[in-house]
Amino acid sequence: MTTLVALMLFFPLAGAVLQAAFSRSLSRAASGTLAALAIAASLAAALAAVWNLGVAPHEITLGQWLAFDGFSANFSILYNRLAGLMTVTVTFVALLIHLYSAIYMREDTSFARYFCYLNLFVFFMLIIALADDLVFLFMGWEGVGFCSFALIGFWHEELPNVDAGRKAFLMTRVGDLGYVAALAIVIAASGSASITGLTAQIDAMPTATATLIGFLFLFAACGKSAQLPLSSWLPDAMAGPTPVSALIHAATMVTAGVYLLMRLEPLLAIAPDVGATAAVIGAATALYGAACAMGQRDVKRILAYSTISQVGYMFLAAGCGDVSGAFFHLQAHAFFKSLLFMVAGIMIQAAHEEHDIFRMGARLRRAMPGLFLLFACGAAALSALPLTSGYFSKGRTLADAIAHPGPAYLLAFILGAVAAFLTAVYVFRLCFVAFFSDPADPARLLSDPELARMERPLWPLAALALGYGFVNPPEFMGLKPWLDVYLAGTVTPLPPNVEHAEFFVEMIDAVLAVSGLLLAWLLYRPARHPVAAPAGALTAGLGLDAFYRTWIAAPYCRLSARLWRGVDEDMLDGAAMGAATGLLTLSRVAARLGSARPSTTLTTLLGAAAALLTWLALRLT
Amino acid sequence: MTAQLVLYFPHLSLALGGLVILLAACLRRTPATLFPILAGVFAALPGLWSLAGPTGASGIGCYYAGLLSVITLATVALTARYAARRGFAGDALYGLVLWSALGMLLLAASDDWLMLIVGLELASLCLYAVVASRLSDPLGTEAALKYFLPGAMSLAVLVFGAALVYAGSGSLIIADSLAAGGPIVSAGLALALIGIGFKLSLAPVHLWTPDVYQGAPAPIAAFLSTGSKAATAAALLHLCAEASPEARELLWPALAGVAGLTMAAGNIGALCQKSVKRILAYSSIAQMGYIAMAAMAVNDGGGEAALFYLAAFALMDLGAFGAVGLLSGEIGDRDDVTAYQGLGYVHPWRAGALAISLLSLAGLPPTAGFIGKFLVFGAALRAGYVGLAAFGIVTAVIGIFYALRVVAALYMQSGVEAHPAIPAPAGPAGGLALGVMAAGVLALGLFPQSLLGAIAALFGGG
Repeated sequence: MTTLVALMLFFPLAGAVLQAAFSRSLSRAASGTLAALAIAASLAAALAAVWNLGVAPHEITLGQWLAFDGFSANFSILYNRLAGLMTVTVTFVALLIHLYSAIYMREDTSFARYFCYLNLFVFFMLIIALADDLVFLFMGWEGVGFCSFALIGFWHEELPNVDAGRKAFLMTRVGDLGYVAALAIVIAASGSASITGLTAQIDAMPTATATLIGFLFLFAACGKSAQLPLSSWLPDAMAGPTPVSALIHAATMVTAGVYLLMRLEPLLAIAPDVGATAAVIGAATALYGAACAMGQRDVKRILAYSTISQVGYMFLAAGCGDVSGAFFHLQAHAFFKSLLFMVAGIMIQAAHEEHDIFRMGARLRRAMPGLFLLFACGAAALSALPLTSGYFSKGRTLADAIAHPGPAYLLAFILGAVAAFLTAVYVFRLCFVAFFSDPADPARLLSDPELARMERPLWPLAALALGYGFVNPPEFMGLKPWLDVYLAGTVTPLPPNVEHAEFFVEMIDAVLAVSGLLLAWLLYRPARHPVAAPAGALTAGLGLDAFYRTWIAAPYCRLSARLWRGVDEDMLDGAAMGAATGLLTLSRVAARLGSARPSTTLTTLLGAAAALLTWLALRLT
Repeated sequence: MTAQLVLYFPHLSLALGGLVILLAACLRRTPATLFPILAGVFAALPGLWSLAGPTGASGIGCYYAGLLSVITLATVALTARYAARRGFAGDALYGLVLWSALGMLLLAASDDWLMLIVGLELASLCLYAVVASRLSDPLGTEAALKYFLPGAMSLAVLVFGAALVYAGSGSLIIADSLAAGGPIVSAGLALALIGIGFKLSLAPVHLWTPDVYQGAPAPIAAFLSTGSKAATAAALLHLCAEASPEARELLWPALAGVAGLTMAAGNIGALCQKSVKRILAYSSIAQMGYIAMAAMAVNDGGGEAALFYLAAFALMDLGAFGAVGLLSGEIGDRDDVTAYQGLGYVHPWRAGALAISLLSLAGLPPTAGFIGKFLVFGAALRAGYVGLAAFGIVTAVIGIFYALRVVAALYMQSGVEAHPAIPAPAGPAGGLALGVMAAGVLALGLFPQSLLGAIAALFGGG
């Protein structure tokens, strides 16, 4: 098992190192093949590891990282069934995205840099999935942050892309403060920094400490997963290549925050306030994201707000303590959202880099029927049409909320249900506008056989988007919930009242999705010749960016200007210059004494003797 | 008898070495190159002796024998070509250097007041003559005189102090006499410390140092600032270690003031100097302030720190003065800071050694000077001299400026043409010695444990 886990981590890292080392000599085909092979090998190792995994978790230490003063950080791994499924999901989606990328990047010259970062990202993401030591996990946490930064600003010749990368980096860094603070408290409270160590001592931990740690980790998770109030970096992160958006900003990295909460489930179990907060934040973010998606015209920004919204549902489930439910939605979302993003990538390339859905229209559907079919599969799952994967997984999260007693969870359920309705509306708005309408000013269409080849890796994802729900169907359908059964020994089992609520919730969910579809048809059907609404509050993300700019960035700029001019230049530099001048004056005095005649030297010698003897005489009397 | 011979082998070899050189000069047609070779061989013998670790010898004696042997050997190597080119090489120069080393060895390892005085005087008398060895140079003669006159007076103060100690305690053994205590002994110790402080150029009796170092030929200034300082500092450490608690209580506040004043005077005095040799002189004054601080904490780990610092200081000052000597033209030493501009590109190796030595004097990592300062300040803090240590750190920060000023001049692109870029050839021995010093500075900075372990073992075994 140790070998398999080590190999799983080794292949992507080796791939990244090779890409970096031979970036100049690798041909385009070799570079793409090498990168995909590295991920395929990692996937094989992940599958083999899951195949051999029993109920009991494996605790593996690959070596010591640093040790001082009684504290040590190890490259230690907690490989349980949750981590096993997570690694398979990550490597599987990553493999398909690598295959897609090999064609998507067919005209870009920096392909080696691209695949290097992509492999490196998978390596760091696997660390997050596997790590037991929280310091080791933090390495992965920061590593994916770095890869995300580098890939958002991948086309770094254009300033807005670099700015977007910087914004993502800084805003996630704000969340990381919470991680570092939590890490410090965990080390202080339990003496070690591992998840297993924390779990083992969880009963002895005071509730206040656990709550504090939980809130700090929740803050970190909000930053990474683009939840309110730290959500505004994700829409801008769409400046990167579209496969990157699919892999990092939809399927894997943004779910890292939620995955962290899942791994820390024992901690959240004794800190109920944290769970309730996570649930409300998640539900509010789900509504926020769905509402903002309504106001976008850029297909990738619609999907970005949709990602924010869907990760909110995962927070909702994790906050309710339903790890398998949250993980179920994580997997389903990984499949249908990466599918949608990659479809969007093809749409954009087909329309000559046009992102505006109001310039695409029915001609695109007629030119590429396969693409439309793929999109429809993803859209059905995202809008939770009955029997698709999204239907079951989202219904499960809402059932968690309503089955939980307490007004906070009720509020979360109401927010989540409204968001579910809005989700169907914006998804089919996107669908009808981009694939059915007849725009007045359409973009030219590109006919390139490579575009059709890019569709090939997407079919497995389309199949999963439609059918993955039957891995974990609700109890009332009388089928076996494989996922719940598989995870039963690893996480807290599902309380029965959730199962009872599921029938009711799934009915509501179906009604909401279908009525959302109908509303979208009424508003955006081709006969109405839909035109884009003027940019408003929803387009600007409800003014979250403006809020930060006015209330945080602007005062900070004013303060730093004052500190620079007033404190640094005037006070500190002035003091330093004054001290230097004084010292130079002293130095001249000392130098004048130093070039003295011998008589001065003799005088000082005898004077010193006299002074010392006088001092002795005074002290002795 | 044999045991005695083994015990005093370093002293005997140095004394005999001087005699052999003088005798060789009496023979007809002795080649001039023979003198430095003979001097080098005899100077190396004490080092080999200390490496062999003879039975019966004290660990501390071995350490000083080794250190002084390295210093003397390096001085001879640096002097050889320098003196031959400038026409003042001869039997007297090398003989006096060896006998001066003998005096330093006696001074460093003395247990007895008389031996301390004899050692100090033997070392000093030879040095007065060596400083003036370049007869054609009026600056050298002036320097020798400025060294000799106050030096004689300081010896008088030291002898008077020793006499008071003897009068107060009835013993000439340093340990016994200082243990006796009493006001007379304290007064005697105070005067003795002033005499030793003069040789160490502690402020306020440091005023002779810049003139003498500037006037003396550069390799001789190196010997003066390392060998004589190391031996005198050894005597200071010894006296401080043996001082009675009563004497400590009386004298330590004064010593703390002296140490602080010395650090300040050395580092601040160097700031506005235009002559590199004067800068180095002020720098060595400042380093002795740190040694004095370590001497106050001698029984709290300051002793080991001071021993390490002495070795580090010997390496870096030999490197600095040696590089000045090797970079100098045949008429006078290269002295003005502006004359060093751009030498880093013309003579990368010699200028590099000078830069490393200067950075070490400033106490920047990864050099021996950094580790030495670290140990010394650590010892002072452990012994409770927090204020003095803090003040010392401030002065050390000030001191970085003048070291960097010279280093910056070395690597300045413009202004190379204004001064003769081609100095006299360094000679194989000088170049080798300089390289070894610079390498040693870096090695001690990177792997201080090698020397620290040896020091700890000497103390344990001694």
